[in-house]
Amino acid sequence: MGQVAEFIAPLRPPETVMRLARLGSLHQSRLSFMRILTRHMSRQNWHFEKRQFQIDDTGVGHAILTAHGPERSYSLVAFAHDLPDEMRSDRVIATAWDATFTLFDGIPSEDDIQRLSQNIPLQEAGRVTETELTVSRANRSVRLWGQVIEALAEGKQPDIASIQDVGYLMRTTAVYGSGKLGAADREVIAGRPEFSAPFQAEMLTVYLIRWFVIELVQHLANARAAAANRSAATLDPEIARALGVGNSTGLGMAPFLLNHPQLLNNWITAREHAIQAVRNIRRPSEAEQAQFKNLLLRNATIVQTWRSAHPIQQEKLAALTADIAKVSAHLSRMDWAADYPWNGLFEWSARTLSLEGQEWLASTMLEPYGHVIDGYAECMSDDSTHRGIDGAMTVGQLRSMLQDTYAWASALDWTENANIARAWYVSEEKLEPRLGERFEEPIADYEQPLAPGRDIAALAADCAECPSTMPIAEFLLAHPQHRYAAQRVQVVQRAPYAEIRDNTISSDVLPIDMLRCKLSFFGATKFDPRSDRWVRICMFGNAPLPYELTSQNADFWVYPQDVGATA
Amino acid sequence: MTHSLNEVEALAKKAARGAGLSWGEADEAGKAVRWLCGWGCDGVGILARWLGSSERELDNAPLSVSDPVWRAPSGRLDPFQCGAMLSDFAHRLPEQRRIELAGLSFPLLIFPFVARSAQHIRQPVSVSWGAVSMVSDGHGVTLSDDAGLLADSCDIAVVSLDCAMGAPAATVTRAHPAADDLAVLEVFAHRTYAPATEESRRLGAG
Repeated sequence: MGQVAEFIAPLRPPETVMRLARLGSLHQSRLSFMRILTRHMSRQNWHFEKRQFQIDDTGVGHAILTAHGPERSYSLVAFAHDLPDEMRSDRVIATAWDATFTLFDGIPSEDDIQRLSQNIPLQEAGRVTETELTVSRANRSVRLWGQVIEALAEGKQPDIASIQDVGYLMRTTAVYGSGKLGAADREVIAGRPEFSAPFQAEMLTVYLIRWFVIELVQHLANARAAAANRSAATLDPEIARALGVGNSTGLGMAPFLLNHPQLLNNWITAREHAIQAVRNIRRPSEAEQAQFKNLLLRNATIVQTWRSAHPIQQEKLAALTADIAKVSAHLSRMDWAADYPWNGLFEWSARTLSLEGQEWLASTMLEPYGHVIDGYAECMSDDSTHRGIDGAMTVGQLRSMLQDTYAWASALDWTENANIARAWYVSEEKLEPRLGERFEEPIADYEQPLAPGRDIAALAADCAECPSTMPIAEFLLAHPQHRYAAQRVQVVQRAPYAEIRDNTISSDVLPIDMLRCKLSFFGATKFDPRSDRWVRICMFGNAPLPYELTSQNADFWVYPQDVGATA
Repeated sequence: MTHSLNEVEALAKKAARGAGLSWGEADEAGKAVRWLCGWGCDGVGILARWLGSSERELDNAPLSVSDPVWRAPSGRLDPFQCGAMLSDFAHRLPEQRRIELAGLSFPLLIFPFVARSAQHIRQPVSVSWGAVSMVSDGHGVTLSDDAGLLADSCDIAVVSLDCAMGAPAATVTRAHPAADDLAVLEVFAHRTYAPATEESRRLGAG
């Protein structure tokens, strides 16, 4: 008898994964940055302290909320403002906000608070120093804010349906880290275990903002009740937990995936390896099967409460809802005793479900396998040093790479208007990235290098006739305009999931696909596009509040338990 | 008031682009400035003076990279173009062992590319002009504190493999650019921003 070859599930190829439509359909998973944070903090027994809360009855003042890790502490310094309704805007061009924040590296002194009070409320018009890790700001949900305070002040709990409908009391409109506005560069904190995974400082900031918002709303309800000689109700912890921090994201985030190809590669690689590892499990245990089924149901609940007014998302939600029904039916027919059932399920999904459904199922499949895949979080950052062009590579080698990775780009006709209809640029007005219409606006001269498809196709065309043995150093002497493209091709050679295989300046490109991809890695849920280039999401919805964080609730909080269900 | 290295890199890149370099060259200029600042050198200052130099248009690339002496027709070598060539052709350095750069403008700007070359060939490379002599092995550097470090030009800068690392310099995490120099960079960076029109606001903004 011959030996049966051991089955090994393949990695999905970049041509399949790195398409905007699929990246724009990604869902959070246990490798999302928010969940990496809460798991880490609970394992390391972080504790949290409300150090200062100097906010008056009108909601103006400042607060310090400190997170204490085993070796270091981090303080959210929050400034609450009295913002007139007509000044409230999510746009980058706003100049005032309901609340402004910084994450301080340690515990701030009175001098620090003084300095920060003169800068943080100004946001981009102010500056910070190396002791500040992030700078951010948030605005109230006009719909929910007053409603919650009024209910509590009258001694009642706010209406659950409204809470679930909106999902947050405040939404951030930017969270700046990595050296912006003078804050500490990533290099300063990258060696700390709590910050080894990506965006942990930003996620910690939002986690603390959420806590601040709940404290603030309770404070204002208490003040209002006291003024009427009453006692306010204390916000029910279950309702508090249901509230996340909203986030409004626009084009400012869109270039990120294109500007950080190595980093994007590392995120996708971790997720793809995780999927592969689960597909390679021969016989899941009963406990793993049960956990999967339980979380699948809870994950379906998120989809049921996911609202969007935008036709694009409504269509995707309809497909996802239909897919979930198909998944349930398929699971009831599945033979769990067969070898590699996850792989069977996965391959079935690739044939049967929409992109939303496929990626939703892929994320859910990872859930029972933290012990197998959580370590991949260590590989998701990019702390490599920049290498620069390798001029010794030959044109022949370059052409081979171009054929492997960019044939799709060379196949497009870059003289056709529809293929170059758009151009990315930065506006003078408030230095915000925009995506303009090349043939309708005078922006071509200001175009940012965010069209690698076009630029690399141009590189391919110009080196097509060069001798194979020519070092690209020589080619670049004659064609210095291709330096950016050549550099990028060499990065992608070492990082197969770095490049999006789609035209980023076409007449029908959807920037929200880029936003969704990055936000899914953050751990966001309930993506609610407001246009093709602006999306609202919810962060840390259902997460334990800092004072109740334990290893029991640090991981699966994103999947709501039935609110009000009997035991 | 100090600046993060990310900030100075981003500003330097935009300024170089605003001065007319291609995006690839501007990106390399940004990284070069960041690298210099990370070793405590005034990368912002030297870029500001290069950008603001009225003779910058005369700076050229060398006629030939095969010659042991690199010369430009104008007599002035462009530091970024030289730097790119040095680093791109690093694989020839072990054979050449020594290159003279005649009339190199703002020679400090070539040091990041010398370091890049050292990284490619995995051996130390030095660059010297006047009383300045510096070495990199691609990871660390040995710096000079001679005033000639910030020179606007030099007659000859020598790039050589016959060298060894000296006392290693310490990295720094903050840049300390002068306000005037930042202002120069901002002026050039500003050229990369598209003026807002009502049309563009309506069509393009998120």
